[in-house]
Amino acid sequence: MADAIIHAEQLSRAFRLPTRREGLAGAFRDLLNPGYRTIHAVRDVSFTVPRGQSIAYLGPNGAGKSTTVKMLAGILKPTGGDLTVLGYHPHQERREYVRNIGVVFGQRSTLWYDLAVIESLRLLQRVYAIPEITFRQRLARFDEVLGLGKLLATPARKLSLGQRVRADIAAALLHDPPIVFLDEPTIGLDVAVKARIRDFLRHTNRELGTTLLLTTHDLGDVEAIAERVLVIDRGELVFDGTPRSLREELGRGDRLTIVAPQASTAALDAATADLGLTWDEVAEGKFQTVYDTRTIATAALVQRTLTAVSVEDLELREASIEDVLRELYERSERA
Amino acid sequence: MPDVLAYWGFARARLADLLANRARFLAGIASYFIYVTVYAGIFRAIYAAGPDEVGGLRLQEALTYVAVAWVLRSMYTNGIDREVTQDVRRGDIALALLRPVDYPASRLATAAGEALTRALIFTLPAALPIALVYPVQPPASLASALGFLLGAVLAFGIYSLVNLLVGISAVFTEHTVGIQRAKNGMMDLLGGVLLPLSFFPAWAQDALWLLPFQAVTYTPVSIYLGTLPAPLGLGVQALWVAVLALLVRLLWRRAVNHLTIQGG
Repeated sequence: MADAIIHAEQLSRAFRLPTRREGLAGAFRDLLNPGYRTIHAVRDVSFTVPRGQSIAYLGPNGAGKSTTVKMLAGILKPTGGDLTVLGYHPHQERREYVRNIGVVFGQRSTLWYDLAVIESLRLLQRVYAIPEITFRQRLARFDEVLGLGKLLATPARKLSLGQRVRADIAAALLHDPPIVFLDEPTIGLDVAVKARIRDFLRHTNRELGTTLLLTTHDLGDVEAIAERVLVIDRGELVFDGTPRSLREELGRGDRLTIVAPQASTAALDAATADLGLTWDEVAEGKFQTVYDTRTIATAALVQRTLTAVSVEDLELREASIEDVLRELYERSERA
Repeated sequence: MPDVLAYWGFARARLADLLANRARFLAGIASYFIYVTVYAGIFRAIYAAGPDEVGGLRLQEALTYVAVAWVLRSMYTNGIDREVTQDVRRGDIALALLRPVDYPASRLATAAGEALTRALIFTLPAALPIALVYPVQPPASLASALGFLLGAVLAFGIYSLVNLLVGISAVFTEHTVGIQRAKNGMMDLLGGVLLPLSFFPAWAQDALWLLPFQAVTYTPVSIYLGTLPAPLGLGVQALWVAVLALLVRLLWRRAVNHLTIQGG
């Protein structure tokens, strides 16, 4: 890809951790003969990102999401593979590289703790040598969408979580970087603040063409912002595609639920036996089956059900990304 | 040039922050007067017991020494050792690597902003009542006056670089409270705030030249009194600034490696 701005080629990061033996005797043995074990936090992850894309980087806790973001941000050295972002090797050329990126950690702040937010932003204006007019324009845009208003005059230490994250996002985007990494930007936030942040990020991506890569556990973020999903599990990339293809790839998990007081699981099982489906009675007179849209047409299934039993109510639920991810994580758990 | 402006930004931000919270210096002004009073009392008692001269200083000079030493201390003092340790413990130190600024330099700039604020709203108001109540002598000569001013700037540099070393060491040790306390004690005792170093036995005085602490207080105050030639004192201070700056550079490089290569 000619205009790809991230190239990750078999990117890996291992940590060597001391092993702790048990008890007092163990503590002495550790002292004399320390043992180590190697953790592969990220293993052979390869992907490229074209300019302007918005990517959700998903995975269960401890999967290697933050480790990847830290490598992308240049503050953690990869132990294997090759990584270039905007033509830089992030770790080797960190000082020059970080001028060109924005980073937000939902659980950390890059604001100066004791300073009023506006002072932190003024400081960054100097650090990035942003002209006054540009600074005002950007501040106005942040204020409009993120609603900074009153919190500009407040010291960072006195901000609520939602206020702090909004201020942190403003601080990360003040120099208008072509690429922004966000590590769990919406963690712990209420619905209104989440919506604001999503709007802002979507706007930034769509209107300004800023490339976004965000990690999250919140699938609302994915639906609102991401055109592409990367899923990492136990350090390995297990999925790379659009949110839609993620659902399709693991198409299982669509559900048909009916309310049919006269029916029985036996009758329903018999009606759909040739499709290889079985039914569960999830409540009194309420039955449910889970099917795979790749092999079973929803219309055919519904028709067959309606002819077999008398149905009072019927509900179809498409597998959510959440279901799909749960299945993906469970699958690798079993592997 | 934008870089220099950026670092001035750190100094300015601290200045604004401290000016907004200037009330906290009021108690300091009173306590510095009390410190000087206590040590002046001790010195008067020593001289009343007999000697005309102790460690090359007459009573008048000893009182001037203690007043100038404490006033100087009110300017250069800062808590960047504690602040850097906090950054490490909160995990913010890695985030400092995300900004295109040199972290130790930004901390020094912040400390410079603090020293500037202190000089204006703490040191001057603290010096005034002390100078009115105690028989403080003027600098020995124009050369020693200028030498003292320059020496005060270098004293700030040495003090802050030592603090940075203590703070950055938190990357490796996590806790620096013990080191901070030891450093603070040595800064006052071995630096010559509590006693002029010429009061110490000869062997101790010789040994203390091997430590940076004397260059923070004893050297500039001796320049003020004219007991140490300004060029010699300033030369010693400049040497310590260079040595400590180099040590900070080396320790910081190791700290960055520790954070980015070993992963914290």
